[in-house]
Amino acid sequence: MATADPTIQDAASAFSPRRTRKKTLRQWMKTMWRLRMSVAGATILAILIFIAIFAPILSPYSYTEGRITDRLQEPVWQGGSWSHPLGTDGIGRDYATRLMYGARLALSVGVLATVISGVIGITLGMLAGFFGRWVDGIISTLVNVMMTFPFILLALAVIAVLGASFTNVVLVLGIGAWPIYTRVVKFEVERIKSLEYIAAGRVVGLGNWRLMMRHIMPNLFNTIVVIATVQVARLIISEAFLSFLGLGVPPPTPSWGYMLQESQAFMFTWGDIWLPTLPGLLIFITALSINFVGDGLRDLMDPHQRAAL
Amino acid sequence: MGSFIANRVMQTVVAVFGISVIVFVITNMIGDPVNVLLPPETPREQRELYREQMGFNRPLVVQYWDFLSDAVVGDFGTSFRAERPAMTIVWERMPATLLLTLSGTILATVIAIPMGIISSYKRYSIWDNLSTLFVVAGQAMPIFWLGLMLIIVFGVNLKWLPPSGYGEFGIDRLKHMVLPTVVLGVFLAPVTERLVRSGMLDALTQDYIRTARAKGLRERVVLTRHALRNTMIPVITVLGLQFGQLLGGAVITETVFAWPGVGLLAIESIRNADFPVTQAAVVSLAIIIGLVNLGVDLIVGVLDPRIRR
Repeated sequence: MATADPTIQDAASAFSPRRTRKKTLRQWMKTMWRLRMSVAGATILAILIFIAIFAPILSPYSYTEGRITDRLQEPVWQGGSWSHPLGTDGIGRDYATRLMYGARLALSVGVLATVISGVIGITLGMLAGFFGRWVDGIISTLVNVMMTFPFILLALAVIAVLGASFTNVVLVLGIGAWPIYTRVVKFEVERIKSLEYIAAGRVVGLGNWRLMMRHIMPNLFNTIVVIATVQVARLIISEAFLSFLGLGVPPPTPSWGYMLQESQAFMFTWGDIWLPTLPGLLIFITALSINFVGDGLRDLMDPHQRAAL
Repeated sequence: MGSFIANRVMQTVVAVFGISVIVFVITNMIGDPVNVLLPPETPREQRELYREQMGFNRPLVVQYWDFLSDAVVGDFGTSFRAERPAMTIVWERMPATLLLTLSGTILATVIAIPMGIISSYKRYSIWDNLSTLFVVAGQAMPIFWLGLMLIIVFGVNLKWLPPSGYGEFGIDRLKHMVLPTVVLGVFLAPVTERLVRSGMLDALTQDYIRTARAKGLRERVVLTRHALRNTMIPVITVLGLQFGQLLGGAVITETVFAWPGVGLLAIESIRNADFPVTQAAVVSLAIIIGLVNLGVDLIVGVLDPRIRR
């Protein structure tokens, strides 16, 4: 969007000095080693995304139907057969297949809800930071109200009103999670607004809209990407919790959270412990990989924040 | 000073008011209260009559005004299910929530403070790396799954601890508290550890630490009396301001362990469309969160004049 604009680039290079490295292979390897956890996280995440996209090709089974005669087959490490490597659930559905489709749901809800909350939060933060005064007053009050309250309770109430569906879960999580962007963006915009190049922009007669979109926005990009990454992980966990309570995407769509809820019926013997273990472990691993990726991005894109988190 | 206090009190009132509006609107959308209060076979005329008697047919704004004028004196009406005052039910559940919150906070502090001290004092050591690992893992942990696994392992199968519930007052209560406390502790400890660590890192570079060492004080005294004490002010502030998040964690923990607190009550009442209880529970939680935030801000404001603006 903003490329051929000398003001931005000059200002950006003056205020956030980029290390212009000559990337030799050795330095490249060095960076990779320093960010090894993030590289590992990114690899796992890439695998998960691959599985989510190609689930129908990767699995010969349906995620909705199973053979009741095949119910509760044990996974291979407990002596089960390779035809169902991760066993089958209480009504004979292939567990691996359901977990794969679960990745699809978790990642898409996480990403979509993050996009929605990002758009709302960034817009409001931009307005509050740029215009200040009563605009800031109203928006900050709204942020306060939202941040005061345990968001999960409101999400539950709203889902109870609207009914559980994919769209509603995405909307509720998206509408609930915006304040974090608003706070950060507002703070950053206030800082940038007082810089000389914005004053210079005003002098040459640039309008508010142009200043916001072309001269402030690009400077926020790094910060936003870092927050958004970590938010995806949080929202995936929230989605799982909603589903765990039966207020997420309705069955038979496999959600990891809902699979956890179903697995509660089989918590009374050691032999069935893999049923609740696997979906939870996947939620954990997904969130962990995303957080590691977020750490790496912060390291690369936003060195100021490293100390803060 | 006076205007600072007035301003903060005003903000709190506005936030609680905002929450009350949100919860009122949401609960009135959950469903028609008449459907909940009357048996399904009631004839239509009788329903309309009843609706009129109860005032459910008036505009929402009028109903809200009624609701608000009763709510300010603590009257949220009668529970649709239990036929007792909603506020009484909420107050009966409050001790359980406060107990869990308290024990979880204590556990988190006991884990986080030593970890944060070691982590900052021996920066980049194996201990620092281990505690970073704990923090990263803790932040990616879906705590409801952790709770579920603890129940399955220690409650149901090993039978070392009661899997859920509140227990009788005394040793039994303590046993029931162990697992929920661990879960809430794991939820809260990572944030606290990061705050302690970054605060300590900052404090250890200060002149007064050099002075304390130059005086010949033992290192332990320098760390705890001088560095830690100064670190704890911002730590407590941030934690106080995140009290809403903490209660959010408590709500999740309560649901998993069937811990009879306000969070579980709120979720039950949302499911049962028992509005007066939902409203009473949500507004009470909002007031408590608001008061804690306010208290922290005022105390810090008194101690540290730089905060007042």
